[in-house]
Amino acid sequence: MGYLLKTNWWKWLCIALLVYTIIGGLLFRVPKLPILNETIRVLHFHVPMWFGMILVFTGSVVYAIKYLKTNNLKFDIYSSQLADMGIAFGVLGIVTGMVWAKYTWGEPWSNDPKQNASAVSLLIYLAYFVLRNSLKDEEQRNKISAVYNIFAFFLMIPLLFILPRMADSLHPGNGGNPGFNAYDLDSNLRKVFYTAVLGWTLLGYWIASINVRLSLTHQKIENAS
Amino acid sequence: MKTPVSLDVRMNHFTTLLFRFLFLLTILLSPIISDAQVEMADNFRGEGKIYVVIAIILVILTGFFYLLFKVDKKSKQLEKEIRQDKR
Amino acid sequence: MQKVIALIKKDLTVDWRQQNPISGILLYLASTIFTSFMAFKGFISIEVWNALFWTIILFTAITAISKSFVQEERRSLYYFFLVKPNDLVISKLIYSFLYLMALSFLSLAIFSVLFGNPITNYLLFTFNLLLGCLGLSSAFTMISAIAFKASNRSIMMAVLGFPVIIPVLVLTISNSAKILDHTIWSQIQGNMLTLISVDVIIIALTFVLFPFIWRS
Repeated sequence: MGYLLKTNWWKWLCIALLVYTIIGGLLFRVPKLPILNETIRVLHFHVPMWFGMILVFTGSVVYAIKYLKTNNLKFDIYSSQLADMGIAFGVLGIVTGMVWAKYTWGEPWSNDPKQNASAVSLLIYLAYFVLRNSLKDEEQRNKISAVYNIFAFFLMIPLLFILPRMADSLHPGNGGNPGFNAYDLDSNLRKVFYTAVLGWTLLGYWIASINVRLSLTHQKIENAS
Repeated sequence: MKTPVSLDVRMNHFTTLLFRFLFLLTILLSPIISDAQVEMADNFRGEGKIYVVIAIILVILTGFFYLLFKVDKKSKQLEKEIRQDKR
Repeated sequence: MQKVIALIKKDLTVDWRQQNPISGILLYLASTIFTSFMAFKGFISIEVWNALFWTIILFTAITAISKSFVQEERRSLYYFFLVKPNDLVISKLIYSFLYLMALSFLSLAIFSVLFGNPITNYLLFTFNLLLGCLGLSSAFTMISAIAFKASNRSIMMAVLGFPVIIPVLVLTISNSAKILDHTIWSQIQGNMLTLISVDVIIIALTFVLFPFIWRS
């Protein structure tokens, strides 16, 4: 009981936000739109996966820069574990997006620029892990993978803005679809959405931080023996 | 003579298990299957592609359970290492 | 600056004297283009011409530039004491850019012999080709420096390089399709400026990050 009270405040925040997301996301009144119907509620479960992915990858790059500056092994562990979490978010985003697209746009992969951009960012971070596994020397591995992390991330960001401009997107916001702003007017939807983004991202960070602690303990044991 | 009997018995056992399972399933799913006279949140499950929302939430849940298993595996390995070190 | 020029000269003389890599890549270019000529013969439109041209440039770039650090393996210790990493990376960037530029002009020549030449606005096409080659060559130079230390280099080049190069490739292909379709400057201005800024980002990142790889 004492542990539950003393644990970090953001874990409680995460729980509260996600409970609010589930209740609000499923029960609040939503705008009635054709084609989307009730699936507009997926907004609180699919879209936060993308936001979570980008936020977690950003965290990973920040730790990669910190690692290159200080050579502290801790930062490399943070960086790689956050990248791992980002891949999990990305896969969840793609799978949920494909389910949603199947029932609204008609097919799971409709060559939408945002789908493509997200697939590319997943490829980048999968390549990051392939690179990590192919390097034997530990310090070299950490350094080179940090460099690739930074290099690829800063090229992924323009891609997220370039690709949607190349073609019409089925996603709201650009192209012929009714934009996010059309149903953004609904303040209930917006409230739950921002809560959802923060909540899911915190959940991801929570899991990544447990992984980081396990890796750090592993390191300590190896150093001791 | 002996084998077919035991096979038969085993089959019987299996079918009863199956029936019990099906019975349990019907009880569990009865709120969905039965035509409710009482006012329930039927619209919630009914139209409007709400199944898609349920499917997507289940996908996300599955994903997070997978992550949980990964953490579990990692901590088990760590426990094993500590045990080996103490020896 | 003098050191940079000396390094470029060294790369040139090494490549010239060995001859094997250069003749290899020339033959690679010629046989790739001829094979695709046999495959695409008969249904080549302007769009297909454009896509094929850039695909071949992409594969030529990854093959030609992947060796730019690999061949330094024996010399790397010697460099380590003698040359500043920034000088080295500038010389490599310039050299691989010139190399790729020459190769792409050559492939343009072979293309116009085999497939015909749909270009009307040479100035814009060349400018776009220049920017595309700049992006491709500098990104692949950096990737080859990263893959240099990895165990299976040729696969790593593709795995690491392709996702990174997509912004440059998408921009150049759409630009050149528009240029071949008689577009005037003002209609592709935005895309060109984006392409220039992506190139600048690639070069700046290479410049900042290269010393970290070199030291490890």
